[in-house]
Amino acid sequence: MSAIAAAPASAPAAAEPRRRRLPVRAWIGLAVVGLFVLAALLGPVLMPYDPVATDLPHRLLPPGSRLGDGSVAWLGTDQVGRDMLTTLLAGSRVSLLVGAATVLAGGAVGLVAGLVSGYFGGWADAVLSRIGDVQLAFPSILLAILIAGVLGPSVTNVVITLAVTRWVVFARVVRASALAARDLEFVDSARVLGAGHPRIIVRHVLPSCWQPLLVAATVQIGLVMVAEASLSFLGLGIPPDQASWGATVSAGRDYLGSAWWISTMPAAALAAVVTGVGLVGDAFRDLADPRAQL
Amino acid sequence: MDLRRREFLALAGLGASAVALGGCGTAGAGGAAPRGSLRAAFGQPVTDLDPYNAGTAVDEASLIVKRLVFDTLVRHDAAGRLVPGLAASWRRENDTTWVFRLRSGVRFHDGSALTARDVVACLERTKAVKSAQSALWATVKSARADDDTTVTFVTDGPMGTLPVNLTLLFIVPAKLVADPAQKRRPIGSGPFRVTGFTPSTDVELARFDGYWAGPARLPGISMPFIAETSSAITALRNGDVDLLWPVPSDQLGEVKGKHGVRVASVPSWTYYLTWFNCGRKPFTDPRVRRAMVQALDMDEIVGKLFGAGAQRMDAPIPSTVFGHAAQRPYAHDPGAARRALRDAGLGDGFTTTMMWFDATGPLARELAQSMISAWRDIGVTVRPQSIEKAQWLQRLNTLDWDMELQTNTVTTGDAAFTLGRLYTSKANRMGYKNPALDKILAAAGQAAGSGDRARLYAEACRIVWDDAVGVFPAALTTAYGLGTGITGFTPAANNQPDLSTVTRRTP
Repeated sequence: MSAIAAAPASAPAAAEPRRRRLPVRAWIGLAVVGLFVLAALLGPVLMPYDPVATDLPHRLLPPGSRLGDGSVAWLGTDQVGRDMLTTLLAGSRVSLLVGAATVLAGGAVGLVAGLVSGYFGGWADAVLSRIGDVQLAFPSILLAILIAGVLGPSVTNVVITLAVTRWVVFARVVRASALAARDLEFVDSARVLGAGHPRIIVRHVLPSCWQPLLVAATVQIGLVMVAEASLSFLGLGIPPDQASWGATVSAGRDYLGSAWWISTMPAAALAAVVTGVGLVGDAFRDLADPRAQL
Repeated sequence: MDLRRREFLALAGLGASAVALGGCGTAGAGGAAPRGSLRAAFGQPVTDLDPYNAGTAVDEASLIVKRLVFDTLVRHDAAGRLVPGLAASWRRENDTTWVFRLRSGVRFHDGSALTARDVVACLERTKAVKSAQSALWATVKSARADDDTTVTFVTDGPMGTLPVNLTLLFIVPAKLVADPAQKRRPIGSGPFRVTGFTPSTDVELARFDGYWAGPARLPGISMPFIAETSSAITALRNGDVDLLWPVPSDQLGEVKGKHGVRVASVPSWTYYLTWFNCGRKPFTDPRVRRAMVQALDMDEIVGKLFGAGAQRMDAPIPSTVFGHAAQRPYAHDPGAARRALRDAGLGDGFTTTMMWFDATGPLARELAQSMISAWRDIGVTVRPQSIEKAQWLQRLNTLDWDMELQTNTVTTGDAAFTLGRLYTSKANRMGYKNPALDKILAAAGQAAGSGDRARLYAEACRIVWDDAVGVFPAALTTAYGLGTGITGFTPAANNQPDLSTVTRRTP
């Protein structure tokens, strides 16, 4: 059973769908994500964010207003007179950083845990899987609030917090792949030839885990960015001297009736990027999963 | 397909009825308060109603409810003058003895009579509990009940502030002073009795018909806590609440001139302050503290941030408080501030921290950011620490901070409550120790004549101001948002309006 299911994942089948054209929505997603990455990397260089500076005479200006120095605040200014566009660009960098770092950290932990429990099985599998079950039974944002509350606000702590809540997802995906791969004939052959466990895991089991792991990672990046914004919204995420979309939405709550742009701009940006990441993830899964063609 | 549509309609109907029921739930919320009750929302949650609970002894939100549920011997009238409450009259027998004569025939909500023995028990209880009020009562040696309606207070040395301090001594039955049930369903003798209380959520009050000054006009008061400012303003505008205070200055435009709502403003006894921890380097040096004050462009910060919502302060207490004396404002002069830092050996600036909790007052975070931004211009890096209220309180009381930002209310409207209570070496609230100031504050506490007291507190204002114990940015103006059906409302400077005189016309 597992032999039949896993066989098409080998080289020829994976190469074939890549020739298919990407759907339009995937291109849109790619464009949004590309713009986001570009903004996160270059934006703060072009428009440096100063967390300390305030400009009270120009507070709460609507989008398109002209500032004292003649420049135009295209997205308006916030309640202490900072340019919203600058704040958003700085926030995009934090979002990208936290999203990427969390998925890397959580993915690495999940990969090791998944390989160990999938390949060896037995008590290691039982322990790791039960820990994962217990954690999944607990709402992840609640767990994140608990850990973030104990650790205190900082970018590193947010990454740690979110990685702790996300590793299970990666571990499950990897475990399933490892479980399927360890009983395949070529793995058995390697074992018969006398290869040790580390060699078998790295050379023979690991390659079949990459693709599902990458698909899981693209989906998770979007969710992690939302989780970071949620924590920052609650004041548990990014410290106040750094920009975060969630914190900006939170700060603008009291101004929904008078200065809608403060909350709306970062919220729209977050929604667009997460949707874009989702579209890209979907397309990637379609490409990577041969069963999607059936 | 047909079946699906029917299922869909059934589900939609279910959903609609759930919404309708939910709506009924909110409209009829406060089942404990009678029909026609006033719905009043204050900006901070009420956590406890026991007048002798240490943590909430001077907590503004709980004081609002306590003033409606309990009586005090002396109270403030709308103009801020001291007028008889439970005490019909009082006199000073000699330097250390005060005699208060109580009204007769006053009854508690449970029907028992209020006597002088209840007053004595309450005073003993408040002295026994260590709270933010303790400093006010330290010089009261004892109280005794001479008969049912006479209480004699004996003080340790002359104490001119006794009548004004008594506006904070809430009278409960002697047998209940330490009863834990007082936290939730307290018994008092005030115009309203508590019929329901969920901490940090809502308080339900009903009229007490046996009130000695005649029953209140309102059948009851319901006080929901609405955490989100924008929700609270929506509730006011669509008539869900009749009274909302304080309306933050940035949101005044959403309330002013709107149909069915009006705004009443009053300069309040609430003000922002930033203390320096004067016991910690580099704030041990008054030159450094003054330089920090000089770095701030107060006119711009207060004017642009708060607009009509606050006034720049010219003393360590608001100008409407007794004992205020205007001082020479610090001019905004970053150059002089930098020179002063250089003279103090801090030419390269320094790094420090400032802590606050966001709910302390309107625009607290924005005020902190503006000051931190100005301090950077003189080379001082201030790391912001926006923390939880409980943690802030704990660190404040253990002096574990460099700078802190908070609002403070001169609850009694008298300088004794702030200057006399907070700035003595013994109180040690911000590490500032000045024997000369101690002497003046002690003399002011003992003086009986208001002329003497005013002169002494003016001197205390000058010392605190010139020594720059803190930054005193703005005295807040409290804006009350009122439904147009409300009459008889007088805005109160201490944020604790007397709601017993209010009437509500049902629209």
